[in-house]
Amino acid sequence: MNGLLSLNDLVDLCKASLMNTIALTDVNGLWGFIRFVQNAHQKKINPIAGSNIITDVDEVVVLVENQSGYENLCRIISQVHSNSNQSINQIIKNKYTGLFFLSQNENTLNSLKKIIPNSHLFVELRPGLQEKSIHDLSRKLKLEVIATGDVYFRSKSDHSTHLTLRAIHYNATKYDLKKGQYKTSKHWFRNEKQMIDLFPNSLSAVNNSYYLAEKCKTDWSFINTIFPGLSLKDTHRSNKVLKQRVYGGAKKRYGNLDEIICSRIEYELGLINQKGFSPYFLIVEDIVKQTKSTIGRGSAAASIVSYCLFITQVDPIRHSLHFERFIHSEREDMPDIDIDFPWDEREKIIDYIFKKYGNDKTAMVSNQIFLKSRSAIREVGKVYGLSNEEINSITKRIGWHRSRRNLESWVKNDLKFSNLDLNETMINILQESDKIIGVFRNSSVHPGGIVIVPDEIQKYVPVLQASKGVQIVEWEKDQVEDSGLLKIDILGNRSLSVVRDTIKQINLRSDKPKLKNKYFDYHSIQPVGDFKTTEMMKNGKTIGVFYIESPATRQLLSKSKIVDFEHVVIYSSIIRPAANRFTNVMLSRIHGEKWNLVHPDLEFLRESYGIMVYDEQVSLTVMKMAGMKYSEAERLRKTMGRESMKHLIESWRKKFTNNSIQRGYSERVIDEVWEMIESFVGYSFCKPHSASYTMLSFTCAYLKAHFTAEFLASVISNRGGYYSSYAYMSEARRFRIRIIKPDINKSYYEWRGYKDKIIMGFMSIKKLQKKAINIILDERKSGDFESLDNFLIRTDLDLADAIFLTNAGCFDKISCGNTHQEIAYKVAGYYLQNGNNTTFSGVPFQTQMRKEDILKLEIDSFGYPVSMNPVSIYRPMLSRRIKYASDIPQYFGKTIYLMGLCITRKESITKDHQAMQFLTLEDETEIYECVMFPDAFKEFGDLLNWEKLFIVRGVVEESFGVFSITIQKMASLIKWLKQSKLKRNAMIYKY
Amino acid sequence: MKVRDVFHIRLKDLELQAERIIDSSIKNRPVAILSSHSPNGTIISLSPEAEEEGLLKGMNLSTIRKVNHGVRLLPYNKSLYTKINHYIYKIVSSFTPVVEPNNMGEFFLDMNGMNYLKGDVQNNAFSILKSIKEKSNIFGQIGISQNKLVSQTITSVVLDKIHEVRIGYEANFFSNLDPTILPILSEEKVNRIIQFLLIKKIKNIQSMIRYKNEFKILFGIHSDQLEKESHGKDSCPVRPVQKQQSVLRQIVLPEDTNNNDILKGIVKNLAEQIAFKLREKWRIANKCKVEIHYSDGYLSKRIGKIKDLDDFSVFQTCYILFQKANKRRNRIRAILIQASHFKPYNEQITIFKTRADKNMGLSKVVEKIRLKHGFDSIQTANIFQALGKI
Repeated sequence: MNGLLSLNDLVDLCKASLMNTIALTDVNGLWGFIRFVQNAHQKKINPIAGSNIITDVDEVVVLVENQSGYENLCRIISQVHSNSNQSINQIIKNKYTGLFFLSQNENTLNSLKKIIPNSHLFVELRPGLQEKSIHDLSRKLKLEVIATGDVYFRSKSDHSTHLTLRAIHYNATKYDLKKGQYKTSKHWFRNEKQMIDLFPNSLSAVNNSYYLAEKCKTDWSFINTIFPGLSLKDTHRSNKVLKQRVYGGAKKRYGNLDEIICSRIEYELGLINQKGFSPYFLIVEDIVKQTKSTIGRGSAAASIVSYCLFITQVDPIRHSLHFERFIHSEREDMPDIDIDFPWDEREKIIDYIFKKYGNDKTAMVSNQIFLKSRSAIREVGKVYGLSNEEINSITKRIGWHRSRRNLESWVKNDLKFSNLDLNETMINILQESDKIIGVFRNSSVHPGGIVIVPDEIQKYVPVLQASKGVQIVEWEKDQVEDSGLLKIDILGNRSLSVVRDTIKQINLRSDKPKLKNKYFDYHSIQPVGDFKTTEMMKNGKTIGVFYIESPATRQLLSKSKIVDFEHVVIYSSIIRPAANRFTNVMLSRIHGEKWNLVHPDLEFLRESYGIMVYDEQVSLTVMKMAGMKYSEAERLRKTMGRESMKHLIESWRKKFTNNSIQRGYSERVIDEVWEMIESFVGYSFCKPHSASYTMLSFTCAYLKAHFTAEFLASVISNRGGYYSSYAYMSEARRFRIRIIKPDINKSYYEWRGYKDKIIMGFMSIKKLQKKAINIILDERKSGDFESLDNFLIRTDLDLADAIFLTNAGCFDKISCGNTHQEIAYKVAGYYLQNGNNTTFSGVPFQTQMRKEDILKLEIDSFGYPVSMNPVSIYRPMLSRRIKYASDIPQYFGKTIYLMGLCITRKESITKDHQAMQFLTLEDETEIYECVMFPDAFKEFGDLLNWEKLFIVRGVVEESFGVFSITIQKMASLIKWLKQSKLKRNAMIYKY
Repeated sequence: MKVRDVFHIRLKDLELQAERIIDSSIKNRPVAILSSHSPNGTIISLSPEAEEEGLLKGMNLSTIRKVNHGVRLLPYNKSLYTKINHYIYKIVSSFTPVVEPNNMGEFFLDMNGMNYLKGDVQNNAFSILKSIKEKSNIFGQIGISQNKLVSQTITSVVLDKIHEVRIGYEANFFSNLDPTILPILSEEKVNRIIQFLLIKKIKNIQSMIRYKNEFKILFGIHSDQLEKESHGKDSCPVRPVQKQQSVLRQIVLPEDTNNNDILKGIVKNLAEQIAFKLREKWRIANKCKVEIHYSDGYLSKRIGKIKDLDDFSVFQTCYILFQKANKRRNRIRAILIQASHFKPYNEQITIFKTRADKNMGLSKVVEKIRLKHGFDSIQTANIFQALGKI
């Protein structure tokens, strides 16, 4: 939180000022070093590695002379991260070779002079210092002077924003900043002439900086992959072990090994051995073995070796997955193997890796957090002293991932912000926020990326301790990959836990002993082709099913009516923000519309109805049409997927267009193909990845179709996915499953499903302590609670927990028909006695529980109603004109009124950049999808920010046999009821 | 037991009524009065027309803007409401010497022995309301009973302009009311049990009292108070206003800010005003309270002592208290300094002139100018700047 310039800006300024070398000296870090080198190389600027080391004691600028100097710098920075209360001298002990040191402080220079030769130690002349005093110091210490820019911002006018950044850093206001916590207005970017103007008496110092720049290392390359060392040091031995394990696994997977399987295994092993990747596969296999249900994703799913090592779960031969997407003879970089683990087992796996490979060789990848428009406004707003509510009034209207520039004009012109009070302070905040978007905020731990190296991790990259307590590298995943470090992604996946827990529940079914252990092995489920599963998917009833539960995917499944494995792989790849148009084209083609390939050369697009769906199709297309090499095509693919490389896409487009024209393709074909390629920007999958995920989707769908109660209970217990617990509960009801409130004798911590009922777990009771749940479950081991008195005597809970249990209805079954009040009276009376607890006789009053009381108790206890749909409460108060969702198909083409509870919503942008909204509502009969086009969204969209229950008027539309509502009008149900009641009263009065 | 007639006067939505007196164009129009116009400002008072539009008391500005765009939102004009409230206080004081102002627009009147004026309590109440209406054009209602609790409850639950609960009928009157009206329910422990037992009416509490032991177990130390309140018993007398000497100065900033220079100027201005008043009385203050009102409604305060009377010392004391109180980055809306618990100032006699003597000398010179030309005639530049005058 110091500098305002991005790496791109810095390199561009350097280029514009005709400078050929630049040193990046982040404070205590090499945070953006790899990205800096890439940017500099691209603009033909020499990048120097360095850092401004600032400890609690003193400060020095360090520049790298050679590779060993780089390694030492990484070690120095790591040491500063671990303890900043040391002098520079203490820190650099034995770590100063290959480094140049610059300082303007006499004491620091004196102490450094004792160990560092004069050729590597300089007096620094930076803006803000007096030339004379620096020259005096240089003469006194007999050291050369080096002039440095010490750049923090582009121009003088940015100084105020620099102050804001510092205030954000120190959690203060601009007025609270003390000297030394910020830079003066002199630290802006200067070219050579401006530097000479600034230091007119120090030409030699400016010249010395050229001399030093020439001596620094600038030829950075990161081609070689750094493999972790195994106990199997001998590569030949690794190859042999890998082969044995692959064939062992193949027998388990396939039984008999035919020629096709053997030749594929041999081909893959040949390439793996040739590239030296065997140790990598063995490490991943070792990690995967630590748990039963995992799923290897990414391009690794195209490998039969991964399949036979049980790293991935999709048979690449059966589903025609091409190994070349994973490893190719021309591929320069390291292939990724990403593995998903059940979300609650991930920590255990990471601990295992750290234990096995050691803290000195292992670290987690960091997440670098940069300020986006939302966070920038929030932080600047705080510096300006705005209250949370004031800040929220604007940030709530900005999406999480929106990184828009020109905030002032956006806020002034977008209707979203129409009733925002835009005063002078707010405008200042927006202007300053604009300038700090993209500034590095802080680093955190990446959810699963782990780096393992053969020797010492601090040699390759600085490491630090994250607040979570785990060791992380300074770089985020892309820089780690590009630096040649080996990264393994260990990610948590809720659906794997859902599958595991569902299987566990099925195995617990006492009435079907035959089932016991049949499904225990997750790998033995064969869901593809199962009739019940296919029918359920065809009807889009996939809420809770991994990856295909979003409204868009559910609708796509229903519309297509073809849900075999190959098609679902296509669907899960094509559902991406920029590919909406192609989804509809594909649906038409599935339903029989005639089509031709864009060009006969692109035959490989035939499998996906002539539409580019997988990212390897992008690579194949550019290789075929523009004659690019494999490695070049891979670079384009990577560029498409990375936000940080977005600016390079235009140059790739030009290259593709020019090459394709030269190779004789028409402009029409080129434009059409590029449009498809462009839809991959920011979000795309390869076929093996989609296939891998689709397999998990099918497994989940199979479990949902056959063991609905168990499955949905597991979904809720694992805290769901796309929807809220309430939505999953509603889904269970639509499958005719009864939801039973927690029962003191029947419930467990988690939700449990059995046949046609789901019993809520104690975890669903808000604020109930885990300690209390454990006490109940432990006590229950010695027998069920016979009565409320029995429970009170046997357990020792806090009154608060007892109240939560009572309100949740846990004692209803053991209270022999007592009313809620009677139970509450007994419970309160028992727990409020100090010692010699006796139970109260009976409640001295009786009042009837109304529907509203029950609803309130349920909402207080669980956060949502359980015994009734909230819509059903209002139905009797409304006219019959309000239709039921289950009857929607009867009104095709007509305008109808409906009411509903909002389950989920998604904002989208039309072609002409207008906001619109997709809504999923439900009433007591069915769930239904609605669209709010820009006009309706402008008028009624605001309601969605504060209301959940709606009454809507809309037209019933149909597309490929699926019905939806195009909303014309919308109102808050409660407000509407209130107003209509008032109107009715007025009418009565009139007559 | 001594029988007393306690009146509770409630001028419903005084703020709204006051605004409608000032501006007749908003009569019959949806209007809401906000605590402040920042997004977290809440509705203090609103017209029935605004209620029909879906607004509620306590709703914050961000929600109001989402819910409705047609209601006229007015800022909280404290000085106007205070003036009207004080005016009505004077009116009602002419009916009895024992008047206790409660919240804004609420007064307790001990009417004991005042029946000779109009004959009976009902006539008295009618006269009071008539007098308020005639002199201020403000409507009100009166609850009459033997104690403050019942009278106040009457005006909050009964719509009649004048309603009386006769002696012995208090428990009956309370029996069908919601227990949340009982002041003891502000005790969290009591409230939690009442909520847990789903007690919707006070008569349920009354019936529980029959089982003394169980009632005591359930409500512990609060059981006696709950028992009394549920039967409409309240022994608290009507207390006339006790005037305590204090000097209070407050500045609402021209614009919310967290700029230290401006805030320092404001504190200096307030401190000099306080010092000026204290020198007039020749008293030091054993209690000096600095209150900071933030733009989001948060209040922070610190208390100290003023030991000297010169401008510089008072400012030093107040500024230190201000700095201690101001621990947030949020913008400040108002600063208040109150000096109380006065003590005579004993000037130290010293042979040599100290810094304090010099400061006092300077303060006295400035004071002379201020006495002649007004307080604001001489200020330091930073105060003028802070007040937005330059």
